[in-house]
Amino acid sequence: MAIALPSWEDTAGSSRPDSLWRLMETLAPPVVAVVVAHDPGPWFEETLASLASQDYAELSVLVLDAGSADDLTARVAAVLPSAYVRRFDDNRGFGATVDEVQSMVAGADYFLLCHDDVALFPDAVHLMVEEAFRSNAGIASPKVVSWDDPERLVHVGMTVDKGGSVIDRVQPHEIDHGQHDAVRDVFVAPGGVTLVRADLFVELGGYDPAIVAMGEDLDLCWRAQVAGARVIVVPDARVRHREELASGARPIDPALVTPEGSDPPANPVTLQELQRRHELLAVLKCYGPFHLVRVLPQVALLAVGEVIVAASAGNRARARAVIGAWRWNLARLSVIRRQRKELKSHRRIGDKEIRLLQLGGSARLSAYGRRVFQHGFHGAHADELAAADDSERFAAEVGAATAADLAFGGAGAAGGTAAAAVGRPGPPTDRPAPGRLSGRVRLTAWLVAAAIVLIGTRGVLTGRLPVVGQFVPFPSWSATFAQFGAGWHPSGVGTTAPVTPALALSGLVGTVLLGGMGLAQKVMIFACVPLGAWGVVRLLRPFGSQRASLVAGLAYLAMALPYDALSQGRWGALVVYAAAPWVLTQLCRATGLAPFAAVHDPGTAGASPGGPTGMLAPYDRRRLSAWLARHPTARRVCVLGLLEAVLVSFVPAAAVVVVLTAAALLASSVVYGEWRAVGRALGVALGATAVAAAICAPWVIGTLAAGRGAVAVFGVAVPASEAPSWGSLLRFAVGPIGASPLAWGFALAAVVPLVLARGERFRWSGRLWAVALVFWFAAWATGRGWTGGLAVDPMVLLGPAAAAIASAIGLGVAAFEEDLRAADFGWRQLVSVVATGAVVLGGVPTLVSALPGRWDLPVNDFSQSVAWMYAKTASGSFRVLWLGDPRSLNQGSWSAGDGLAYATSEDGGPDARWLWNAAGPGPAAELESAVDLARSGRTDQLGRMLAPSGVRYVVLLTSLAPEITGEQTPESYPVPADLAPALGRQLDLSQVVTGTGITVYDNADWVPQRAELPAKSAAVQAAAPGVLGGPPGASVVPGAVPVLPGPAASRSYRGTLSVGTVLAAVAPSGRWALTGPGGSPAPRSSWLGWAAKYQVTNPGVGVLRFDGGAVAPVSLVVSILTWLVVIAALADRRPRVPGWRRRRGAARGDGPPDGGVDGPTGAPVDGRVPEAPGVVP
Amino acid sequence: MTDDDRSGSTVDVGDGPDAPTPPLRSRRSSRSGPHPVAGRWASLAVVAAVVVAVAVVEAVAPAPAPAPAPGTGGAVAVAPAGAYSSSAFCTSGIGTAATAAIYLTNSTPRPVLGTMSSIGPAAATGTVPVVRRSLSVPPLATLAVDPGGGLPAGDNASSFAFAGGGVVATQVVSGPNGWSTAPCATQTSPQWSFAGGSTSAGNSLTLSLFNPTATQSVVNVSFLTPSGVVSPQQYQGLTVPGGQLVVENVGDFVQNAPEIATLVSAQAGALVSSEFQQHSSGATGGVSLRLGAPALSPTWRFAQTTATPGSTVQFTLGNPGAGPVTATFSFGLSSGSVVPRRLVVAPQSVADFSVTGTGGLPQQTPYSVTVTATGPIVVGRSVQAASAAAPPVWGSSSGTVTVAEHWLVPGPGSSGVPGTAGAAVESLAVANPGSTAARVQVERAGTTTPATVFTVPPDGVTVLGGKQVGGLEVLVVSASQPVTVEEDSGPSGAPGVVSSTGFPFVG
Repeated sequence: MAIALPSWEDTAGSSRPDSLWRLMETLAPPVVAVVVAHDPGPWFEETLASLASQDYAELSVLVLDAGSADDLTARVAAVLPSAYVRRFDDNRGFGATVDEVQSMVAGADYFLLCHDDVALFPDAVHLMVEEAFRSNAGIASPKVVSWDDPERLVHVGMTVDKGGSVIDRVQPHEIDHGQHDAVRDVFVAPGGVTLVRADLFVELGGYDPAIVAMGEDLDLCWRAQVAGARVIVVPDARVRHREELASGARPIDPALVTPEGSDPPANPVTLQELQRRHELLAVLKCYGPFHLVRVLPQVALLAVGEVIVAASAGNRARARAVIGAWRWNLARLSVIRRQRKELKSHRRIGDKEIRLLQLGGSARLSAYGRRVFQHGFHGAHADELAAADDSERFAAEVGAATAADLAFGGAGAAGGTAAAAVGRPGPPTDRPAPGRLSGRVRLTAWLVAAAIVLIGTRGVLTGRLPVVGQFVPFPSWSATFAQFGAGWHPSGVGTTAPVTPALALSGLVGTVLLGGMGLAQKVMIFACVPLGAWGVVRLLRPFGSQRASLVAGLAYLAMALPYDALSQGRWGALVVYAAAPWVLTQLCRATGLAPFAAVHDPGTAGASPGGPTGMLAPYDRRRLSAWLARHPTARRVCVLGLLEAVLVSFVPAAAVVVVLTAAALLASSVVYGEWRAVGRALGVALGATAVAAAICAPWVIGTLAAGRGAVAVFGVAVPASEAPSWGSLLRFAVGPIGASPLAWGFALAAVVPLVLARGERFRWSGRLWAVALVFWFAAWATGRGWTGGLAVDPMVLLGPAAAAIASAIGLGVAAFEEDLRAADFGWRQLVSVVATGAVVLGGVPTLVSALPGRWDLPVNDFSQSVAWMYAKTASGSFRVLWLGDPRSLNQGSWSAGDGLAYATSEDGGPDARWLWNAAGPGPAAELESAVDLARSGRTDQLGRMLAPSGVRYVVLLTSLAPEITGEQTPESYPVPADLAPALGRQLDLSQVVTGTGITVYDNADWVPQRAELPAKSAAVQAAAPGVLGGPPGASVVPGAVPVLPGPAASRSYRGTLSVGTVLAAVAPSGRWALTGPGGSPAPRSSWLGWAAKYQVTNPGVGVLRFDGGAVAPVSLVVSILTWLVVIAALADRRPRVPGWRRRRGAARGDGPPDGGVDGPTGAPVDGRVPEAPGVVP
Repeated sequence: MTDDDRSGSTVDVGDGPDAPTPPLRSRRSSRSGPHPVAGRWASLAVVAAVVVAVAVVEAVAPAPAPAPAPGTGGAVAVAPAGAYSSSAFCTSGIGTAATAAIYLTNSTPRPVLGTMSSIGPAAATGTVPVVRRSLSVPPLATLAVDPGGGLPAGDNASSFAFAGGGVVATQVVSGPNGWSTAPCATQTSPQWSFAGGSTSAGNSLTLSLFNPTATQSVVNVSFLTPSGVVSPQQYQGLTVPGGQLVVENVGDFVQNAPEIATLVSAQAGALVSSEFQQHSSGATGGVSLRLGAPALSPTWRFAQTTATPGSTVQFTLGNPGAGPVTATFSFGLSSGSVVPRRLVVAPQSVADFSVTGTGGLPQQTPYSVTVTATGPIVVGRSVQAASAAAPPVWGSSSGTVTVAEHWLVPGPGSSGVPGTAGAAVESLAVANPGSTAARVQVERAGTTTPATVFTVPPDGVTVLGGKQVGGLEVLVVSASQPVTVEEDSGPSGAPGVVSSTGFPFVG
């Protein structure tokens, strides 16, 4: 409904003789100032007064009351009686409310769209109109200055990058010296006060009503430019702006972001998220098809990177905002498509010209890079976390569940990102803490370390990863997933034992990486190194010394252990290397001892009645997460249990590591007491192991079903003669790298805190030493075979020892800073200097090993030596029996005694599906028995014994990879000396490949895995092939021909059959069914006790299929559900409270809401821990 | 007084286990340096103790060394009774010059089933006749089989597959010139060595190459002569198809060599090799069937050597190495001692050592001979009896590299089926290479005859005569420590003309 407004003459008239309106009354176009107000504060009168004081004659004022609690009419009338007030029952947001003006106002040439917290200088309107006329602009924006300090600039127009990220043209708190006082085109006229041509506004349909806040100005300006209108800034026109909403002073109305009739979301929509979604909306809406296709993938890629970085920095609000933005827009694609169509009808300017007004590259990325460089990784995020905290606190205070995370609102409608990006004053700190380093120093140190690691790894990162040890290629991601849920595994001769969740987790990583399993493998392998270093940094953070954390992390990175593991393909050792610091952290926290005493789980803080519950949203008490929040120990058990579940999936021996770590901590109580506290860690470790077992229940049950042999899942013994020496263990030099006396430096430096440290630093260094000693000894004893069947790889056991020693080194630094800070110069300082030198020297061997670029990882592998096998499947599917040291085999193996291991694969070399074989070999144990017979001279027809299992080739490995003179000298892994001669004596085995480290024997007696005996063959009755069945070279099942072809490890084979008997050497026979021609099942009978014979009575196409029954799917569902339940229970938590906030809270006397040592900037400022809430040194 | 003590005036900052670090500390106390910390010395002591203790333990009890590679031993051994399968491979290469019989001896108290596959000379069409038959070796008894049965006359070879262990095969060849006995191989090998053949006038030497495996072997054959190594072109890359026999007349390429050593080396695959020597010395002579040694060795043992009047006992040493080898002959007697003798063998050459031509060695007294060389060699022994002795007057045999506590010693035939007319065991020598006396028991398998128990002195030898061991029964020797044995059979012109060492086994 159009309304007629009272004329300016009638209301203001000649009351202001100094104004120019009389001069312009015949020329000036009518302007309607539209003020959208919603519960404005006491400043509102000043806003109205500023409008009343305008020197522009043709100005009318329309106040739109967007559902204020109290009617504003009286307030408006008191200041601006001529203004028209329109009251709405609800608040639909600024844009949607302004849009009403299209139907309410007629005859206006310009709309002046105003917030309710602005104050215009008297000449602002006329200057803007004048310049808009002069420049023929569609939209004009004034210079926006601070409400309280007009000398400080807030906005002078804004620009945008191609991804829609809005960047302010001024720095925060920039003083106005007239440096921006030129009229110029800008991309965005920031909200607050915007002059827009009325016809343009109507043509564009006004603001997008879906944009309730944060971004309506970007959207309008972009569309205006598409329609051919200029957007300019008029610096001479000045406006003061409080930015109540963007600064977070005023919460956003929950009704705006909560669909009608629905409950408030668990994670309230933040201004940041609003801004991000509207930026993306503008991109999706305003680009033409060509540029959209070009730009959108880049925006998506940046979003993924931003989510990863934000999540890793603990800035979950930002990660959630980015994800939420995409989710919101993707859900509105139909609306966006319609809007694009509408905008297309107005398009007069191409994207190419519009792009000229945009910034190149990614403004957000550039700003982030600058911040990281200036403040370090954590410092770069601290501001946002601080802002998030502020908003969180504010939200709690006002009781608004939807108001949180106002980090990006400070710069106005769209400028928040820029404001956050260019940096704000850092988080408040009480005083400089000892051990604090500048972000630049830390960043430089980590960059140098990363560069060295990358240099050392360059040859592998860019090339093919050789198949050595456990570095085995994965099949496709779908095959990896499928194997997890198959219910049958090709391990040995086949088993129904559930497989480890590692396959599913690997598949998950591959899925995230768009199916690139090769990349997934590299990521999962090489990420272990930085992950471990990061873990050590986190472990030491409660001690409050960034320098200590840095040194510890670098020391951990400099140890030879991970690179030795890399060079020998020991993925398990790498995984434990990565996880050991995190496990140690959890257990240290579980003790509740200082400085870990103050570390409460963020999820529990709000649950404490005496805690600052008002700062965090309450839990739904009906949920498991709520229960966990009330039981911090149980929560910690679950956290560690989940971590342990992931670990044991890849490295079952990790269960031993977790429990042994806790036991080592307990053992340290002999010296340091605190039995009860440290005993709690053991309890948590045991509980976590139980949780991990529950999470991996199907696999664990399957493993336990192996009986006594289940212990083999932890590892297969290597010859005692191969045991690493005590000295090499102490130096973490258990491979080709680090075998230098210099590597003693780490252990030497780790002694320093035992000598110098005091208080908690001393006690924890002692406990860390206990961990190191226990694991060193365990590795030493295990290597010598003193632990019986429990044969954990010593390299795996070295992970926790290395983490402990690196942490002790860091505590030495902390001790130097804290305990020697004011001491007289003497031997103690000298010791510290020597220790520093020792650490540096200790890293030299690793540094030197980095130069070649491969960490001694071989280039050539044995997979190339057996690649020809795949071509042999033409004559039937077969198995390969692998014999050798367990470290040389590329799959999970079982012990054959004397340090010999055996394993199988199908149709050639193994892939990652064989990496985690079942704990027990099952019927494949017969293969080991046969080999044992050969070794002891009790058979010379080994091939005949292996033949029923489909073993066509026997591969004997005696080194990690082929030795190539001048190119690679891989680790040698000798096998029992009697093995090769024994194999050589076999009448039915002949050598077909003989190289350095590998010998391949061809079994002349082999039988295809799936073979058919025509009815005419008399050998059908052969119950079990015996030695008297024929001379060497004669098949143990004469007349057998291969049938039912199919890929390796398949669960279904299809092929043409003739009348006769089909032999299928896949176990367990009871779970495989042959469907003959016509769909009828072929009668089955047992063969060899574990394989099956099927009688085929009609020729035709048959299918041999695994039928797992209900067990497999039930097992799969249980497994998935268990994982999801635990993850959900732990993930459903409120935002983390950054460390600086806890410190600040403590400083305010609020008490540490969550202990305050887990944030990005570390512990309480001086590394000490308050003894009681609210008491800070 | 320590630094710590000097800070006595400072406040107690509570470094005990339960005391938290104080929030503030006086400047004075800070400058005084660290205070005594409870547990510091204990911590350092524990760390040092553990590190040192483990180091000491490691030094005292180092990690075990890798298990040594098993000795290749001889080509014969008794498969364990509980074996899944065992084999025997017999090849003679005698052509039509002699007849052969194979004796299968079962040392177990149960019958052992087996199959025998015999191949004959290839026909003109290239086809190889094969005869397969099943057999059952009775417990603790000897079964005689004819390797040539069903095959055309000529060279043949047999392989036996037994469904179990405990069975060994010996072969006896007999012809106009004499007779000989040799064990059949129980394993294949890529290498075989012989010492002591001759192609000089009156002598004929054939080399049998039998490949019982499924895949072909490619073989190189070389000969060591006193003048160096001979590698006939035709014997390089010699192909022996799987399951076939190749017999070569050495004299065709190495002519008129009085002493040679033969080296068979397979480039690919494995095989069994034996040599058949026909020796003529005037009106009489002898034959010798010898299974090769699957590996060279620096030590060779002969349990019984007896120099009788008019006889010649000669050892032939072949050194295939690139450097000279010094061989030491040690002699073990039942009592007394003899000074060892030394002999240098030139590289890639053969050398003879005649005990009968060496002064200071006992006559008509059996003694053991141990040849210890500075490098791997092969050693053989030949015995030329006095011309007036009963035929055969010549024979040769291989030594053994094996010492064992248990030996199975089949006789030259079985009851009712002697290897040759009147063949019987005449003596059994047990040599003890150890430094302590060995208690030895000899019993006849499958009979109720009481066992003979005696003691062999250190580095000594004890010889049982025909009264104790005579006949054709299978002898089982058990000793308290590793010994070597040698059985001498008759009829022959002198001890050592027809002899064999038996089969070591695990008791």
